[in-house]
Amino acid sequence: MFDLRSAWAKTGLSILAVAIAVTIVLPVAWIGALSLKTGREVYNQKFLPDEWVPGNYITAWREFGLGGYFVNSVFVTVVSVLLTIVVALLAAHAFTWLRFPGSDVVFTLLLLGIMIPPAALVLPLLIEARHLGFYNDLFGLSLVYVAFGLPISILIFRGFFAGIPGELVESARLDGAREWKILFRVIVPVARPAVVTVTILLFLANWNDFILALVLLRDAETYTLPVGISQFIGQYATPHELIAAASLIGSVPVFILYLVLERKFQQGVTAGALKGRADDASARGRGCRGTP
Amino acid sequence: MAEISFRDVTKIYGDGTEAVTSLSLDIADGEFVVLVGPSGCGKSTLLRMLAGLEAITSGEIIVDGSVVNQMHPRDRDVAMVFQNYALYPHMTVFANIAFPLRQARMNTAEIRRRVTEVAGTLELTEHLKRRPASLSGGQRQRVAIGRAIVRQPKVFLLDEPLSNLDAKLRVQMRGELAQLHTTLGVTTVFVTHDQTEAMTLGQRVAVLNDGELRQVGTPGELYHRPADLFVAGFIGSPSMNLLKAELRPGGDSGRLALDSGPAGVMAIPEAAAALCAGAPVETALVAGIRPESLLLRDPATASGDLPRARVRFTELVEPETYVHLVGDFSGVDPGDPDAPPRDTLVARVRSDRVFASGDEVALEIGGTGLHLFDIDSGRTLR
Repeated sequence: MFDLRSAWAKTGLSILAVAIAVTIVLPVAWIGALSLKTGREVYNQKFLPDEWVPGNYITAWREFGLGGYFVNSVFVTVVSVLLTIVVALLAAHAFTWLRFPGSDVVFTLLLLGIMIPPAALVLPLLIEARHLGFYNDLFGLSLVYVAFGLPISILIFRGFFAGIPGELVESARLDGAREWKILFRVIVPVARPAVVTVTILLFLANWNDFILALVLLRDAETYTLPVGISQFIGQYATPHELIAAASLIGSVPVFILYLVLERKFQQGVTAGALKGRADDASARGRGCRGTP
Repeated sequence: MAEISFRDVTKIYGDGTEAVTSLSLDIADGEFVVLVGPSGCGKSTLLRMLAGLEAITSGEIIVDGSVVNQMHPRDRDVAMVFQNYALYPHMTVFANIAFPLRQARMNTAEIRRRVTEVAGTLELTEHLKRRPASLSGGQRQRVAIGRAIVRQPKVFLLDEPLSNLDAKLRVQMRGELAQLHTTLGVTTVFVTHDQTEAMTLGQRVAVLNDGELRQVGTPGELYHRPADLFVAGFIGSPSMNLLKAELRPGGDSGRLALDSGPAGVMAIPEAAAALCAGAPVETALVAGIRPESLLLRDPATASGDLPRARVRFTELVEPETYVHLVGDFSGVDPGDPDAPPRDTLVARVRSDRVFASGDEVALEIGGTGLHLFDIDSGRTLR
């Protein structure tokens, strides 16, 4: 049998890991190098620029009004992520601890949302947005992100909540806590890794979204970063070095968020892999059946 | 403090499982009642219904004169200690104990005073700033108890609170719980599957099986006057020996013939004669003999009528020995799914008597530990 603990296997796996890392890092490094080239150097075959132009970043920020797009993206992403998390926590709490008639059916219907890609719904969404008055509106776009983010967020929260002993909730109920307090004072602190995981996933998806923002935003002053950057592409010339610089500027918030929440994110991704959690003050118990 | 009444309480789950069947039980103000029974007997369901954590299918639960069937758990003024403690892992010991007081919006000074007082009582003062994960099992248990008693509830519910502790700590906590009840005087309902815990803690013990209340009484009543075969088999350690037999006239107080061939007749001791007074003669019944009342005689000198048995193995539990015997008997299953197989007998003798596997002994009844049961209904014959 092939032993994964052998020195050969370890070496092989290490090489594989490095190869995967290089595959992922290389395009980012390439974009980084591109962002520092002059417009003429963009099409040459060299990886590194002959003439380093850090000024591309300032040009991209100033000339193409990146600041406005940046603010719009921050607004849309922060509002949508916060709203999604609050609503998803409430929904997951209800699905896990307040089992109501038909809850399984509703949950299954909700999960169908994960299976439909946003691109497939672009046209109906556009018509709906015009009817409901959230076309060309940043808050409206945030609400669309909330709708698309909810199913996966609820799924993750519910999965995590199911691993929390039901007695914690029951105990808090007997201690006189109301449901919202049980959720935010008892459950959420225990489920912090799941909250962090969902935050990062939603932030990434909403910050980088292009298609929905392109369809639902009309005026340039409402554009988010991905749509704004796409406006750099001209009919006769495209400043690839500025697009590269703008893309890297746009990825800074995601990078910072990940660095800040990295440890919690990893805990969240691996949660459930082990039977007991680090803090086993309460053993894994049965779920409660709800109150009369 | 409060009186509790269960009136014809039934619980049927959505899948049709009947967990509790038409159960009625009254618990007096300040009483310590233990609900005991094998796994799945409905004891925890009953406790959870009293706490409001399970809906009641039919019947009424009355606390302090008010029907609480539809009352939310937080409005029932009951506190509960769970088997796994259910401590809030992200909060310190202080915050855990203070949690119910904060929900009641008590002022900070009063919260501090009460938590400090409870922590003092439970010897937790030096751990108030620690989190549950850094505490031992016994300390966690104390925090759970502290959180329950700090708000001075009307009723105190304990759902197998000692089962996660090691044997020594369990005995210690048992004593502390009893002491706490004496001090606080709060009506307490304690659930356990451990009959030793039930017998040592309960002022009264309610024995449940298959969702039905089989008997409720003081530990002494349950041990000496079991209402039926189940209670007889469940209460007592080692369990009562249950054998098919019949009464026969003869001797001073009658004789008991075991269903074990010609040699199987034992004289009924005078002390137990009253128990057999109302039982029918020469009718198949079940004889229950407590292990301490099963006397082991030397077969060489004992009467030839006495039933014989062979020693299977012995357990030394100083200062006694439990002698497990096998013979040509017809054992009876009392209906306890957790009970050992009934084809063997157990005798409890002083540990200075030595027996080896395969030794033959003659059996005799001594003392008052003889009980007779109807073979069909399982009810005690009196």
